[in-house]
Amino acid sequence: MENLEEKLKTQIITQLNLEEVGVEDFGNDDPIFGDGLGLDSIDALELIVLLEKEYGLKVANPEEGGKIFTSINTMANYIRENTK
Amino acid sequence: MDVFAGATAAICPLGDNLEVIFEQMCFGKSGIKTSENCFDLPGDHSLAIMPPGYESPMSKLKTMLCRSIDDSLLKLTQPKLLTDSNTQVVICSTKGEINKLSTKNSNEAGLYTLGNFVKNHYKLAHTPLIISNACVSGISGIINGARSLKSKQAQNVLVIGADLVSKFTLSGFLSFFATDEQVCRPYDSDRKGINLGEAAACIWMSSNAGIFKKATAKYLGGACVNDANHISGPSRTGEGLYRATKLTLQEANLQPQSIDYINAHGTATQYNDEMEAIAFNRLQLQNTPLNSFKAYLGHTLGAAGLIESAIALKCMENNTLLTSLGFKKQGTSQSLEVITQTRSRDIQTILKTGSGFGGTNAAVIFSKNG
Amino acid sequence: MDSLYLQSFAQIDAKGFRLNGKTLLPYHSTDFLKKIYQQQKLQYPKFHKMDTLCQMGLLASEIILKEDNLIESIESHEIALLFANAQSSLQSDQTHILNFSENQASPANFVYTLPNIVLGEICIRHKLYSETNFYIFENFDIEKLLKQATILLSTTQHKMCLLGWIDSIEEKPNCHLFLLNKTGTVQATKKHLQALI
Repeated sequence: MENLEEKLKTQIITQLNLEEVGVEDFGNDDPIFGDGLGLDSIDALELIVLLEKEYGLKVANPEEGGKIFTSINTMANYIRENTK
Repeated sequence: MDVFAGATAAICPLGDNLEVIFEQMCFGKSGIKTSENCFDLPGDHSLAIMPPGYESPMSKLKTMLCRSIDDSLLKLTQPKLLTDSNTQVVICSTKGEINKLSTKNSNEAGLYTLGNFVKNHYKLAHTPLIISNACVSGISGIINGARSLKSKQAQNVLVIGADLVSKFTLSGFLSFFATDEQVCRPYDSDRKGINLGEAAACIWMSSNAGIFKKATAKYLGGACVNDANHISGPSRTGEGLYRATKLTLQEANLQPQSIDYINAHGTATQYNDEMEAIAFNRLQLQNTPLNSFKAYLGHTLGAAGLIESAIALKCMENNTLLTSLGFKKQGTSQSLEVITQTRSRDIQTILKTGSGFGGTNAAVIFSKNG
Repeated sequence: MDSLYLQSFAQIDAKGFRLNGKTLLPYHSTDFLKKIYQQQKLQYPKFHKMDTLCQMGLLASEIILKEDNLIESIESHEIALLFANAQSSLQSDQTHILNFSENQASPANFVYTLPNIVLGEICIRHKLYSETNFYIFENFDIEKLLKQATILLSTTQHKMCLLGWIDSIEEKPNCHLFLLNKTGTVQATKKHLQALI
């Protein structure tokens, strides 16, 4: 089975239309909203859509999203903790 | 060349005509109501939606358009001016009758159908010019109208703005987490976002003051500037609004201290109101009395610039500053002179501003006529 | 002002991607806009997030504004943008309807449900602090477009105007941008522009 971290990278690339980014450009601990990927506030909101669509998780406000989307690892941990 | 403005009219949940709307606002009444699960979208939503009874025989938006146009015609010395070949009609809307759009049909909902409807219904000489410039559409319409007069492309212009609240717009703003479940609080420290609203409004502009039974105001200038920052986030420095207002002051040949009153955009989102505070401070307008009408009317999108200008002109005519409903405590990093009590004041000159998605910012200045 | 002058023009339609009438890339029925992006070596990842209107506007304006380093030689507030179409943002509108019908409204799509976003994207790309207006006409009408450009250039401080018709019908691009100047040699008449379409 593909591990969750790798799966997330692919899903993020698709959801955010990051055509010029490959899974190898993501480190599990790298900041998602650092300079590297050039993401903006709309992308942050799209990640909330991704969590709901792919994992059935509802994020109540964007501030909460800020903590979840720190890195691939924090995102994966959040998903593990909140899905049985 | 002087450009006169008047024969203003409006319809929104606060009332069927501008006089009633203004009176309600003087009493501090809001047209926004909070209810659950509107348009099957879960949760509480605060919206300014028309009461039932406007859906027939024409659709709601068309009924609203016609009522406001008909009302404005009563304020002209010659209502026939509407069909005159020297009259240009401008329609401002973001989404028109988007509620009619499905994934299959597209023709009925197209914005140009609104133009054709008005043209046929009133037998206009020319097809209306339709402007869709996000939330500054209404102000853009006024500016475009004034320029048609100045370049002698028309002698009279009727600028109309109209937009509805729909599942389309509400679901979108919810996905942005940009709405307040309660009545919105522009410039307040507890502001949480916008409330959507619906309205239609009209302003006539002419190079001839004689067309008006009462020529309320003179248009002194206007400008529209993009802030080149982000498609949904306003510039942190307020660059677009700063430049638009500065150009408008230049065209009006006025200093900032000559402005008696500002009716700003004040959507009650964190970023918009903060951006405005920065821009108005850069312009030395931080001590000029200012308000937002969003907690009375909701955010009426493409109609906002028109209905808010129409009401601001009423305020100037009546020398009244309306309290900026929803505001309690300063919530912007730089201070503004937000009006906290409805009161009388001599008003000679007003500044109206707006900002919207796509980085658009616009400003217009009117002065009292005579 | 009596007349405006045509400085340059770019087109993206079923005939291909063209600058001043010269084909730079013939039309492809699949991924045509992406192929132009690759051919032009744009390196602007935001491009992939945009809807069709914005992608067309960005590509066509890029080639005009970069020609002869024009964008370096003018002030950021001197070039106004006036675009029009018939369908507004229909494609993104329909995507948004599909999304919210499934309770999954996407903010990244919703923002494109306004036709003027393309003007914002171009201003962001080139740091243009100038006027932007989006009009809706039932049909592609050069005369009406020229009238708006003439009014704008005769009543404001802008020196140039990027005037455009930008629509996509059933995914077929139909984008024509004209850079108009207050001075020049080729008069931008209705007849002349019509012949270029």
